[in-house]
Amino acid sequence: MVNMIELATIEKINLTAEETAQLSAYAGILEDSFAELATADTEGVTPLVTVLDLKNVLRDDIAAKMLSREELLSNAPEQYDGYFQVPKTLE
Amino acid sequence: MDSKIKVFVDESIMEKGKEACAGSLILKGFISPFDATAVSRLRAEGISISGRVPTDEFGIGSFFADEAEDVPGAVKAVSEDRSSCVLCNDVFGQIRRQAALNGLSYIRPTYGTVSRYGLIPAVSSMDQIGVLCADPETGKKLLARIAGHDEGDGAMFPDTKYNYISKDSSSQENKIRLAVPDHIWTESDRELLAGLKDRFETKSIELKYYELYRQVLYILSCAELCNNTNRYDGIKFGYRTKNYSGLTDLYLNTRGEALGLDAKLAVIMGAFVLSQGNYEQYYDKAMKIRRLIRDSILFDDYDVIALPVRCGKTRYEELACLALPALTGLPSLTVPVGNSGIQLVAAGKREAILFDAWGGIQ
Amino acid sequence: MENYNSMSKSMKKYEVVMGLEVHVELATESKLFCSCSAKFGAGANENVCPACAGMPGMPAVVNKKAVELGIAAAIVTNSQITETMTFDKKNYFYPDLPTGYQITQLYAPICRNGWVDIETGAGKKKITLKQIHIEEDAGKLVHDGRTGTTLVDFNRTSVPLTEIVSNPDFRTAEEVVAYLEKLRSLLSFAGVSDCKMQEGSMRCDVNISVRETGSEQLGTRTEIKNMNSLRAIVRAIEYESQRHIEALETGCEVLVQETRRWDDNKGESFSMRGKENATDYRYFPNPELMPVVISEEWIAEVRNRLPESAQDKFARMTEQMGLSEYDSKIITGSKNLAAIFDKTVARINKPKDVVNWITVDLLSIAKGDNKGEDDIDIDCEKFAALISLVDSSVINRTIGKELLVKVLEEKIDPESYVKEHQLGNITDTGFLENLVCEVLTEFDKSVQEYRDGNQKVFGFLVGQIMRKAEKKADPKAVNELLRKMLD
Repeated sequence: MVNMIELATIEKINLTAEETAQLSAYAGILEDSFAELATADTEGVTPLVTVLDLKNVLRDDIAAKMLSREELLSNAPEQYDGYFQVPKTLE
Repeated sequence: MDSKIKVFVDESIMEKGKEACAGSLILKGFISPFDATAVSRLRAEGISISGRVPTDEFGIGSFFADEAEDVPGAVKAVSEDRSSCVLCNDVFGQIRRQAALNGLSYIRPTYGTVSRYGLIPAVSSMDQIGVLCADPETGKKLLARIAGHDEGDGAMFPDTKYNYISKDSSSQENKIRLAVPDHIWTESDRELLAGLKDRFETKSIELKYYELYRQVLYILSCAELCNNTNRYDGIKFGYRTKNYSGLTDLYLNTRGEALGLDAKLAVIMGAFVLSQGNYEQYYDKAMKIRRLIRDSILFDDYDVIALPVRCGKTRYEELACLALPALTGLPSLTVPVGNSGIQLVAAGKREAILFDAWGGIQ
Repeated sequence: MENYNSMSKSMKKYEVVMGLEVHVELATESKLFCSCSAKFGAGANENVCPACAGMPGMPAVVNKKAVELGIAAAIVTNSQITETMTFDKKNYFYPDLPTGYQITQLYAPICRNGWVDIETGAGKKKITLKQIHIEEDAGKLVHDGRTGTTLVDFNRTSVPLTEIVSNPDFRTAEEVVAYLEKLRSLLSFAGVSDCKMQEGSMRCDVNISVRETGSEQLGTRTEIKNMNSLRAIVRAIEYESQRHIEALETGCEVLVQETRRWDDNKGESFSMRGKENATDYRYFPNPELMPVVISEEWIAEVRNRLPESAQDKFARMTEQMGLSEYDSKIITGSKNLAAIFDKTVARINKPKDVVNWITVDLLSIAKGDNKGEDDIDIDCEKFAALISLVDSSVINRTIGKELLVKVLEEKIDPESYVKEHQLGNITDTGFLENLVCEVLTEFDKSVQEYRDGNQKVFGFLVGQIMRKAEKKADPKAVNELLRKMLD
């Protein structure tokens, strides 16, 4: 069962009652269709994380400055004194 | 390349100083601090971006809605001006399907050949910038300018250049071996293939696991979409709700107000398939089946697979025939044929044979 | 250190069982997944790029040096290195986590099953490790009283960390302290991290539970966070174990498995409300980071390049250089001091002299400046030159000590400074003889006392000669001269 309310809370998304109903219907269709996965025999099969067969893609440890603080904060919805600003966290 | 060709990008591709919202309200106001590699490579060759076209929210679109299908912004733009091309990311197949149905073509390159740097991510293990165009030959030349290794994207082959020309001309001279999974083509669309039997050596194949393609694609992509959109919280950039008193409201209302219904469904289903009790039977299982699917496409006694662009009643059902390129990372060229289209899929990095095959279809 | 016996009164029936999670910032130039500087101390949001600020479009790419430092950490903790390591995503929402997920290692961490030998008053013990994994750090939150809001700084976001997870092998706070000091020694000498708790490059969370002695079952476990010094850790352990014991004995409180925050000012731990304690992190493998294969060759390469460990250096100092255990312990107690020692000895091959100058003079100056041994920053070439000037009697030790301060604070070049200010020992014997004569004349009474048998006056007379010479005399030469002229 897709617990819409619980998942929406975990994913920090506010849903209206209408959205909850609509999404629950779609989620039900999806969840039902997912049941067919069990028909595949995956004994001994390694999960595929990427289609690429590459290893050790590593970057040299060189520091480089890309943005000034002004450029960075230019997108900030709320800023204060060089910081991003949010309501007080609980601890 | 013909200088009269205009290159557009869709809203998921970043251009420095311009708003990039990936079709979502949650990115409204986000001004890209840098150019996508695709954009900077074109600029370096004197090709500027002529404009930006709308896209579905994170490329998702509506899987269950009843209303008539929306034509993607990219398809509209090229329909209106056939001398233009659009760079866009087509994971779920809607773009290439609508392209074919509107007399246009779409090239989805091999995963790992075009940099994702500057592409607003939807499904990281499947995203690739492709080209929507009226003429595949033009699209191919454009692609060759943007493809190639980029240090900014760690999921790339080391090849620095791709020219999409067959190493030997045998595929042009001899008949290309075309594999047709008859079981997935509808009766009506199979007529499109009739004319091809003269120009290709066709054989029938069975796509094992086809009945699971859509589920595997949806499960894997919704999880990655969920993860890729968790960064949108109204704190650093983009949309921020006006209705909040505390931190929790800030998150709930920013995301609640600015994410569309289809995005919300993907995010919630993503959380569902990744949750502790479900991970093994859904996400882990889907990853395993993805490997089985990839390993079942052999290209041993065929060069190209021909897939339809229509196969179901809802968009969710239709994912089945459109899923293969995203699931496997294989390159595909979708071309209009008759009143529909054909998706040609080749082995990894064998785009050249797709263009040769198209030559045969024309 | 604290008196550990304060716990023993109520400890008769109970055993405290602890496991540690130590986060150590790796000493890289750039961050783990982007090229921003990883250095401590910059102004807020100065070391931030679109990637580590959570903006879309910049894929993560792994820092090679971070992997190598991880390999080094594995080697010095005797861990089994994973042949193919991978990265995973851990999802949760918090303002200091700009992407909404942390890239960490769940399925294939860099190494497992290591151990660290420690020694306490009770003897030697082996602390076993569950695993070490590499992950990215989060940003910093600052509470602004004036606006009543929280301010976010992403400088620390994506700085590379290794998390060292021990098994629940600890039984006392003393063991915990010994372990942290040993880890610091191992990792700082290996160049993995500077392990400065006060700068946050080494952080420790303690998982603690209490059970009746002899029981095989583990009690309810609480995790305590936010201890910023060894002293705070000891206090927190004492407080928390007492709290557990009281709860078990009196039932005044029901122990719950939770995360608690240590408040060092109040001397109490508090439940962290608002932080989801049983969060489902929806872990999954990161598809854009390719697996990292750690070959035997690579491990051997890292092992060969490892700097000398504190232990090896101690052995070499005591056995080969003939230095005392006391002095060697001081030098090998700090990576910084050890580096100063090495660099200076490389220039003036007189280990005993160098060690004295460091342990006696350099450290006392630092103490006066309220600096720790890790914070001393001296030009070793100049230091060696200074020591050489004193050794060759160009200047005397008193002047040398004064110049050391100037080398540290003003970065003077000793040789040119001595010449410029004419601080060299008086070499003109005639001039010196005159000075001695002056003193003998001035203090004829003292001379008489000396001739009468009072040896102590000799030192007084030497002092007077040095004063006249404005300290610029070689005490040995003065001694000889005075003795000669008195007899």
